[in-house]
Amino acid sequence: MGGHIDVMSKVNAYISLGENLSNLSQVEIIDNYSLLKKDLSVISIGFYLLELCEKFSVENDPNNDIYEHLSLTLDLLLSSSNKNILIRWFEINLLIISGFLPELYTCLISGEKLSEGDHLFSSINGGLVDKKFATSTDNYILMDKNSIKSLRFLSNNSWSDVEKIKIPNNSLEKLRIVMRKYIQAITNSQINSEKFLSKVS
Amino acid sequence: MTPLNNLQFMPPALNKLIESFRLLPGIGPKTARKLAFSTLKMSTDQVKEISESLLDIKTQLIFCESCQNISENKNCNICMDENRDNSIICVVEEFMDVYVLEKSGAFKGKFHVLHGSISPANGIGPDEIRIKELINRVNNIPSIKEIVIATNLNLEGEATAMYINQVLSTKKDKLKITRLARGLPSGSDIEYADETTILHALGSRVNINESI
Repeated sequence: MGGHIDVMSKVNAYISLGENLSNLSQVEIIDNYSLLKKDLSVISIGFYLLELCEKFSVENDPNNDIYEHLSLTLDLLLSSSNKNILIRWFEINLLIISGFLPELYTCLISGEKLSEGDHLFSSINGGLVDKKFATSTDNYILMDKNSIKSLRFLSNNSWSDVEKIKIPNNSLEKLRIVMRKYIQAITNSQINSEKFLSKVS
Repeated sequence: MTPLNNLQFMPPALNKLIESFRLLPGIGPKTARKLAFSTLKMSTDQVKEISESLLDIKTQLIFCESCQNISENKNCNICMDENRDNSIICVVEEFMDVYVLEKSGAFKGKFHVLHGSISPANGIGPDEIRIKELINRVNNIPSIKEIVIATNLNLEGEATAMYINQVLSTKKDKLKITRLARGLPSGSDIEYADETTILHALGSRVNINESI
Protein backbone atom coordinates (compact mmCIF):
# COMPACT_ATOMS: atom_id res chain seq x y z
CA MET A 1 0.00 0.00 0.00
CA GLY A 2 3.10 2.19 0.37
CA GLY A 3 2.93 3.59 -3.15
CA HIS A 4 -0.63 4.75 -2.58
CA ILE A 5 0.00 6.78 0.56
CA ASP A 6 3.03 8.81 -0.36
CA VAL A 7 3.15 12.50 0.55
CA MET A 8 1.42 14.82 -1.97
CA SER A 9 -1.04 12.26 -3.26
CA LYS A 10 -4.79 12.70 -3.27
CA VAL A 11 -6.38 9.40 -2.24
CA ASN A 12 -9.61 7.77 -1.19
CA ALA A 13 -8.74 5.92 1.99
CA TYR A 14 -10.96 3.33 3.65
CA ILE A 15 -10.32 3.36 7.38
CA SER A 16 -11.97 1.12 9.95
CA LEU A 17 -12.15 3.19 13.08
CA GLY A 18 -11.04 1.28 16.14
CA GLU A 19 -11.27 2.10 19.81
CA ASN A 20 -7.53 2.57 20.19
CA LEU A 21 -6.03 2.09 16.74
CA SER A 22 -7.73 2.56 13.39
CA ASN A 23 -7.05 0.22 10.50
CA LEU A 24 -6.28 1.43 6.98
CA SER A 25 -7.87 -1.24 4.83
CA GLN A 26 -7.89 0.14 1.27
CA VAL A 27 -6.42 3.07 -0.59
CA GLU A 28 -7.29 4.29 -4.05
CA ILE A 29 -5.32 7.05 -5.77
CA ILE A 30 -7.34 9.99 -7.12
CA ASP A 31 -4.33 12.06 -8.20
CA ASN A 32 -0.69 11.52 -7.29
CA TYR A 33 0.48 14.75 -8.97
CA SER A 34 3.09 12.82 -10.92
CA LEU A 35 3.80 15.81 -13.18
CA LEU A 36 4.51 18.06 -10.19
CA LYS A 37 6.89 15.48 -8.78
CA LYS A 38 9.15 15.71 -11.82
CA ASP A 39 10.31 19.24 -11.01
CA LEU A 40 12.40 19.90 -7.90
CA SER A 41 11.39 23.56 -7.60
CA VAL A 42 7.70 22.58 -7.78
CA ILE A 43 8.25 19.79 -5.23
CA SER A 44 9.81 22.34 -2.88
CA ILE A 45 6.68 24.50 -3.20
CA GLY A 46 4.56 21.40 -2.53
CA PHE A 47 6.52 20.66 0.65
CA TYR A 48 5.98 24.27 1.75
CA LEU A 49 2.22 24.24 1.11
CA LEU A 50 1.84 20.92 2.92
CA GLU A 51 3.76 22.14 5.94
CA LEU A 52 1.62 25.28 6.13
CA CYS A 53 -1.56 23.17 6.00
CA GLU A 54 -0.20 20.95 8.75
CA LYS A 55 0.60 23.98 10.92
CA PHE A 56 -2.91 25.38 10.49
CA SER A 57 -4.66 22.03 11.04
CA VAL A 58 -5.60 20.40 14.29
CA GLU A 59 -5.19 16.68 14.93
CA ASN A 60 -8.49 14.75 14.72
CA ASP A 61 -10.34 17.82 13.47
CA PRO A 62 -10.94 17.52 9.70
CA ASN A 63 -10.88 20.86 7.92
CA ASN A 64 -12.51 20.55 4.54
CA ASP A 65 -11.85 24.17 3.55
CA ILE A 66 -8.09 23.79 4.02
CA TYR A 67 -8.18 20.50 2.11
CA GLU A 68 -10.07 22.07 -0.82
CA HIS A 69 -7.75 25.10 -0.85
CA LEU A 70 -4.65 22.89 -0.90
CA SER A 71 -6.14 20.64 -3.56
CA LEU A 72 -6.98 23.62 -5.81
CA THR A 73 -3.53 25.17 -5.33
CA LEU A 74 -1.75 21.91 -6.18
CA ASP A 75 -3.88 21.69 -9.32
CA LEU A 76 -2.88 25.25 -10.24
CA LEU A 77 0.79 24.77 -9.48
CA LEU A 78 1.78 23.36 -12.84
CA SER A 79 -0.23 25.74 -14.99
CA SER A 80 0.49 28.99 -13.14
CA SER A 81 3.04 31.20 -14.84
CA ASN A 82 4.03 33.02 -11.64
CA LYS A 83 4.45 30.53 -8.86
CA ASN A 84 5.53 33.17 -6.33
CA ILE A 85 2.19 34.98 -6.69
CA LEU A 86 0.40 31.65 -6.33
CA ILE A 87 2.26 30.93 -3.08
CA ARG A 88 1.32 34.36 -1.67
CA TRP A 89 -2.32 33.86 -2.77
CA PHE A 90 -2.32 30.45 -1.09
CA GLU A 91 -0.91 31.90 2.15
CA ILE A 92 -3.36 34.81 2.44
CA ASN A 93 -6.34 32.55 1.67
CA LEU A 94 -5.13 29.97 4.17
CA LEU A 95 -5.05 32.77 6.74
CA ILE A 96 -8.61 33.78 5.77
CA ILE A 97 -9.87 30.18 6.07
CA SER A 98 -8.20 29.84 9.46
CA GLY A 99 -9.59 33.14 10.73
CA PHE A 100 -6.32 35.04 10.72
CA LEU A 101 -6.85 37.56 7.92
CA PRO A 102 -4.64 40.53 8.80
CA GLU A 103 -6.28 43.95 9.14
CA LEU A 104 -5.40 45.79 5.93
CA TYR A 105 -7.81 48.76 5.91
CA THR A 106 -7.92 50.17 9.44
CA CYS A 107 -5.07 51.19 11.71
CA LEU A 108 -4.75 48.59 14.47
CA ILE A 109 -3.89 51.26 17.07
CA SER A 110 -6.08 54.26 16.26
CA GLY A 111 -8.95 52.35 14.63
CA GLU A 112 -9.02 54.96 11.87
CA LYS A 113 -9.33 54.11 8.19
CA LEU A 114 -5.87 54.02 6.61
CA SER A 115 -5.07 56.59 3.96
CA GLU A 116 -3.39 55.57 0.70
CA GLY A 117 0.36 55.40 1.23
CA ASP A 118 3.07 53.55 3.11
CA HIS A 119 2.19 51.91 6.42
CA LEU A 120 3.71 49.56 8.95
CA PHE A 121 2.81 45.90 9.28
CA SER A 122 2.68 44.44 12.77
CA SER A 123 3.11 40.67 12.65
CA ILE A 124 2.44 40.40 16.39
CA ASN A 125 -0.90 42.22 16.19
CA GLY A 126 -1.81 41.05 12.68
CA GLY A 127 -2.29 44.05 10.47
CA LEU A 128 -1.35 47.54 9.39
CA VAL A 129 -0.55 50.45 11.64
CA ASP A 130 -0.40 54.10 10.62
CA LYS A 131 3.20 55.29 10.94
CA LYS A 132 2.24 58.16 13.23
CA PHE A 133 0.76 55.76 15.81
CA ALA A 134 3.66 53.30 15.79
CA THR A 135 5.02 52.20 19.15
CA SER A 136 8.65 51.47 19.86
CA THR A 137 7.89 48.02 21.31
CA ASP A 138 6.60 46.41 18.08
CA ASN A 139 8.92 45.09 15.38
CA TYR A 140 7.18 46.58 12.32
CA ILE A 141 7.77 45.93 8.64
CA LEU A 142 7.45 48.97 6.40
CA MET A 143 5.05 48.33 3.51
CA ASP A 144 4.91 50.62 0.51
CA LYS A 145 1.52 51.41 -1.02
CA ASN A 146 1.98 48.99 -3.94
CA SER A 147 2.69 46.07 -1.61
CA ILE A 148 -0.38 46.97 0.46
CA LYS A 149 -2.52 47.16 -2.68
CA SER A 150 -1.20 43.79 -3.86
CA LEU A 151 -1.92 42.13 -0.52
CA ARG A 152 -5.45 43.55 -0.49
CA PHE A 153 -6.02 42.33 -4.04
CA LEU A 154 -4.75 38.82 -3.21
CA SER A 155 -7.03 38.63 -0.17
CA ASN A 156 -10.16 39.75 -2.04
CA ASN A 157 -9.95 37.85 -5.31
CA SER A 158 -10.09 34.36 -6.73
CA TRP A 159 -7.11 32.89 -8.57
CA SER A 160 -8.74 33.48 -11.97
CA ASP A 161 -8.52 37.25 -11.30
CA VAL A 162 -5.19 37.14 -9.47
CA GLU A 163 -3.40 35.31 -12.28
CA LYS A 164 -4.12 38.21 -14.66
CA ILE A 165 -2.22 40.78 -12.61
CA LYS A 166 1.47 41.50 -12.43
CA ILE A 167 3.14 42.24 -9.11
CA PRO A 168 6.61 43.84 -9.23
CA ASN A 169 9.39 41.70 -7.77
CA ASN A 170 10.14 44.14 -4.96
CA SER A 171 6.49 44.06 -3.83
CA LEU A 172 6.44 40.27 -4.07
CA GLU A 173 9.55 40.08 -1.92
CA LYS A 174 7.95 42.43 0.62
CA LEU A 175 4.83 40.24 0.70
CA ARG A 176 7.02 37.17 1.24
CA ILE A 177 8.66 38.78 4.26
CA VAL A 178 5.34 40.02 5.70
CA MET A 179 3.67 36.61 5.27
CA ARG A 180 6.65 34.75 6.73
CA LYS A 181 6.77 36.97 9.83
CA TYR A 182 3.00 36.88 10.31
CA ILE A 183 2.72 33.10 9.89
CA GLN A 184 5.63 32.61 12.28
CA ALA A 185 3.89 34.82 14.83
CA ILE A 186 0.59 32.92 14.50
CA THR A 187 2.02 29.40 14.56
CA ASN A 188 4.74 30.36 17.02
CA SER A 189 7.21 28.29 15.02
CA GLN A 190 9.51 28.39 12.02
CA ILE A 191 8.31 27.03 8.69
CA ASN A 192 11.10 24.53 8.08
CA SER A 193 10.52 23.94 4.38
CA GLU A 194 10.95 27.63 3.57
CA LYS A 195 14.74 27.25 3.63
CA PHE A 196 14.64 24.48 1.03
CA LEU A 197 12.14 26.45 -1.06
CA SER A 198 14.53 29.42 -1.19
CA LYS A 199 17.47 27.14 -1.97
CA VAL A 200 16.03 25.42 -5.03
CA SER A 201 13.67 27.99 -6.51
CA MET B 1 9.93 8.88 29.28
CA THR B 2 7.02 8.19 31.67
CA PRO B 3 8.23 5.81 34.34
CA LEU B 4 5.37 3.34 33.83
CA ASN B 5 7.50 0.53 35.21
CA ASN B 6 8.63 2.36 38.26
CA LEU B 7 6.95 -0.04 40.65
CA GLN B 8 8.05 0.36 44.23
CA PHE B 9 8.62 -3.31 44.91
CA MET B 10 11.14 -3.62 42.04
CA PRO B 11 14.81 -2.97 42.75
CA PRO B 12 15.96 0.35 41.23
CA ALA B 13 18.58 -1.43 39.09
CA LEU B 14 15.89 -3.53 37.42
CA ASN B 15 13.68 -0.49 36.87
CA LYS B 16 16.62 1.30 35.30
CA LEU B 17 17.22 -1.62 32.91
CA ILE B 18 13.53 -1.69 31.93
CA GLU B 19 13.63 2.02 31.20
CA SER B 20 16.79 1.53 29.14
CA PHE B 21 15.20 -1.19 27.00
CA ARG B 22 12.23 1.09 26.40
CA LEU B 23 14.52 3.55 24.63
CA LEU B 24 14.85 1.08 21.77
CA PRO B 25 12.40 1.43 18.87
CA GLY B 26 9.41 -0.90 18.96
CA ILE B 27 9.90 -1.85 22.60
CA GLY B 28 6.91 -1.18 24.83
CA PRO B 29 6.71 -1.53 28.63
CA LYS B 30 5.72 -5.22 28.56
CA THR B 31 8.51 -6.24 26.17
CA ALA B 32 10.97 -4.14 28.16
CA ARG B 33 10.02 -6.00 31.35
CA LYS B 34 10.30 -9.35 29.55
CA LEU B 35 13.78 -8.47 28.27
CA ALA B 36 14.87 -7.26 31.69
CA PHE B 37 13.74 -10.47 33.38
CA SER B 38 15.44 -12.54 30.66
CA THR B 39 18.65 -10.60 31.31
CA LEU B 40 18.36 -11.50 35.01
CA LYS B 41 18.35 -15.18 34.11
CA MET B 42 21.51 -14.92 32.01
CA SER B 43 24.98 -15.70 33.27
CA THR B 44 27.23 -12.82 34.24
CA ASP B 45 29.49 -13.56 31.24
CA GLN B 46 26.60 -13.36 28.81
CA VAL B 47 25.41 -10.06 30.25
CA LYS B 48 28.96 -8.73 30.16
CA GLU B 49 29.22 -9.69 26.49
CA ILE B 50 25.98 -7.90 25.63
CA SER B 51 26.94 -4.76 27.53
CA GLU B 52 30.39 -4.72 25.92
CA SER B 53 28.86 -5.13 22.45
CA LEU B 54 26.56 -2.21 23.11
CA LEU B 55 29.43 -0.06 24.23
CA ASP B 56 31.64 -1.16 21.33
CA ILE B 57 29.26 0.15 18.67
CA LYS B 58 29.62 3.61 20.20
CA THR B 59 33.32 3.52 20.97
CA GLN B 60 34.73 1.49 18.08
CA LEU B 61 32.55 2.39 15.12
CA ILE B 62 33.18 5.56 13.17
CA PHE B 63 32.07 6.79 9.77
CA CYS B 64 34.26 5.93 6.80
CA GLU B 65 36.03 9.07 5.61
CA SER B 66 35.24 8.28 2.02
CA CYS B 67 31.75 6.76 1.80
CA GLN B 68 30.34 7.75 5.23
CA ASN B 69 29.35 4.15 5.94
CA ILE B 70 29.94 2.73 9.42
CA SER B 71 33.43 1.36 9.85
CA GLU B 72 35.99 0.38 12.45
CA ASN B 73 38.76 2.12 10.51
CA LYS B 74 39.29 5.40 8.73
CA ASN B 75 38.16 3.67 5.55
CA CYS B 76 35.59 0.88 5.48
CA ASN B 77 36.15 -2.61 4.04
CA ILE B 78 34.18 -1.80 0.88
CA CYS B 79 36.25 1.31 0.14
CA MET B 80 39.48 -0.60 0.81
CA ASP B 81 38.52 -3.50 -1.48
CA GLU B 82 40.70 -3.20 -4.59
CA ASN B 83 38.54 -5.64 -6.55
CA ARG B 84 35.60 -3.29 -6.56
CA ASP B 85 34.84 -0.88 -9.38
CA ASN B 86 36.03 2.61 -8.45
CA SER B 87 34.26 4.26 -11.34
CA ILE B 88 30.74 3.73 -10.05
CA ILE B 89 29.21 4.98 -6.81
CA CYS B 90 25.83 3.94 -5.50
CA VAL B 91 24.23 6.64 -3.32
CA VAL B 92 21.97 5.34 -0.55
CA GLU B 93 20.10 6.98 2.33
CA GLU B 94 21.14 4.72 5.23
CA PHE B 95 23.84 2.14 5.94
CA MET B 96 21.09 -0.51 6.15
CA ASP B 97 20.61 0.07 2.42
CA VAL B 98 24.29 -0.82 1.83
CA TYR B 99 23.66 -4.09 3.64
CA VAL B 100 20.62 -4.88 1.46
CA LEU B 101 22.43 -4.06 -1.79
CA GLU B 102 25.51 -6.02 -0.73
CA LYS B 103 23.37 -9.02 0.17
CA SER B 104 21.99 -9.06 -3.37
CA GLY B 105 25.53 -9.42 -4.73
CA ALA B 106 24.49 -7.45 -7.80
CA PHE B 107 26.56 -4.33 -7.22
CA LYS B 108 30.33 -4.32 -7.42
CA GLY B 109 31.05 -0.61 -7.20
CA LYS B 110 31.49 1.67 -4.18
CA PHE B 111 28.85 3.29 -1.99
CA HIS B 112 28.04 6.66 -0.51
CA VAL B 113 25.75 6.89 2.53
CA LEU B 114 23.81 10.14 2.88
CA HIS B 115 22.54 9.51 6.42
CA GLY B 116 19.00 10.51 5.54
CA SER B 117 17.04 12.21 2.82
CA ILE B 118 15.89 15.74 2.18
CA SER B 119 12.79 16.29 4.30
CA PRO B 120 12.11 20.03 4.32
CA ALA B 121 9.13 19.88 6.68
CA ASN B 122 11.36 18.23 9.29
CA GLY B 123 14.06 20.83 8.81
CA ILE B 124 16.34 18.45 6.91
CA GLY B 125 17.75 20.16 3.86
CA PRO B 126 20.75 19.28 1.65
CA ASP B 127 23.15 20.74 4.23
CA GLU B 128 21.91 18.40 6.95
CA ILE B 129 22.79 15.19 5.08
CA ARG B 130 26.09 14.15 3.51
CA ILE B 131 25.65 15.53 0.03
CA LYS B 132 28.60 17.90 0.39
CA GLU B 133 30.87 14.88 1.04
CA LEU B 134 29.54 13.22 -2.13
CA ILE B 135 30.23 16.34 -4.20
CA ASN B 136 33.79 16.55 -2.81
CA ARG B 137 34.35 12.89 -3.60
CA VAL B 138 33.13 13.27 -7.18
CA ASN B 139 35.26 16.40 -7.65
CA ASN B 140 38.40 14.86 -6.16
CA ILE B 141 38.33 11.40 -7.77
CA PRO B 142 38.63 11.63 -11.57
CA SER B 143 37.98 7.90 -12.04
CA ILE B 144 34.32 8.27 -11.01
CA LYS B 145 32.21 7.90 -14.14
CA GLU B 146 28.77 7.00 -12.85
CA ILE B 147 26.56 7.81 -9.87
CA VAL B 148 23.69 5.42 -9.21
CA ILE B 149 21.10 7.14 -7.04
CA ALA B 150 19.40 4.55 -4.86
CA THR B 151 17.40 6.76 -2.52
CA ASN B 152 13.94 5.61 -1.47
CA LEU B 153 11.12 5.94 -3.98
CA ASN B 154 9.00 8.31 -1.92
CA LEU B 155 8.71 12.08 -2.24
CA GLU B 156 11.69 12.77 0.07
CA GLY B 157 13.85 10.21 -1.76
CA GLU B 158 12.84 11.64 -5.13
CA ALA B 159 13.59 15.20 -4.00
CA THR B 160 17.01 14.04 -2.77
CA ALA B 161 17.71 12.29 -6.08
CA MET B 162 16.69 15.35 -8.09
CA TYR B 163 18.79 17.65 -5.93
CA ILE B 164 21.89 15.44 -6.29
CA ASN B 165 21.33 15.27 -10.04
CA GLN B 166 20.95 19.06 -10.22
CA VAL B 167 24.13 19.71 -8.24
CA LEU B 168 26.36 17.02 -9.76
CA SER B 169 25.43 17.62 -13.37
CA THR B 170 26.73 21.17 -13.09
CA LYS B 171 29.91 20.12 -11.25
CA LYS B 172 31.35 17.55 -13.59
CA ASP B 173 31.02 16.98 -17.31
CA LYS B 174 30.47 13.53 -18.72
CA LEU B 175 29.34 12.15 -15.37
CA LYS B 176 26.60 9.59 -15.88
CA ILE B 177 23.85 9.91 -13.27
CA THR B 178 21.40 7.02 -13.08
CA ARG B 179 18.48 6.06 -10.85
CA LEU B 180 17.46 2.57 -9.77
CA ALA B 181 14.73 1.14 -12.01
CA ARG B 182 11.21 1.34 -10.65
CA GLY B 183 8.57 -1.30 -11.10
CA LEU B 184 6.73 -4.23 -9.64
CA PRO B 185 8.39 -6.17 -6.82
CA SER B 186 8.97 -9.91 -7.24
CA GLY B 187 6.05 -12.02 -6.09
CA SER B 188 3.55 -9.16 -6.29
CA ASP B 189 0.16 -9.10 -8.01
CA ILE B 190 -0.44 -6.45 -10.67
CA GLU B 191 -4.00 -6.17 -9.33
CA TYR B 192 -2.75 -4.52 -6.13
CA ALA B 193 -0.11 -2.23 -7.64
CA ASP B 194 -0.61 1.52 -7.48
CA GLU B 195 -0.83 3.66 -10.62
CA THR B 196 2.62 5.23 -10.19
CA THR B 197 4.30 1.83 -9.97
CA ILE B 198 2.42 0.58 -13.06
CA LEU B 199 3.38 3.77 -14.90
CA HIS B 200 7.07 3.31 -14.09
CA ALA B 201 7.00 -0.43 -14.73
CA LEU B 202 5.62 0.15 -18.21
CA GLY B 203 7.95 3.07 -18.87
CA SER B 204 11.02 1.08 -17.81
CA ARG B 205 10.03 -2.18 -19.51
CA VAL B 206 12.92 -4.19 -21.00
CA ASN B 207 13.34 -6.75 -23.72
CA ILE B 208 12.56 -10.16 -22.23
CA ASN B 209 15.99 -11.45 -23.25
CA GLU B 210 17.70 -8.61 -21.36
CA SER B 211 15.85 -9.12 -18.07
CA ILE B 212 17.83 -10.79 -15.27
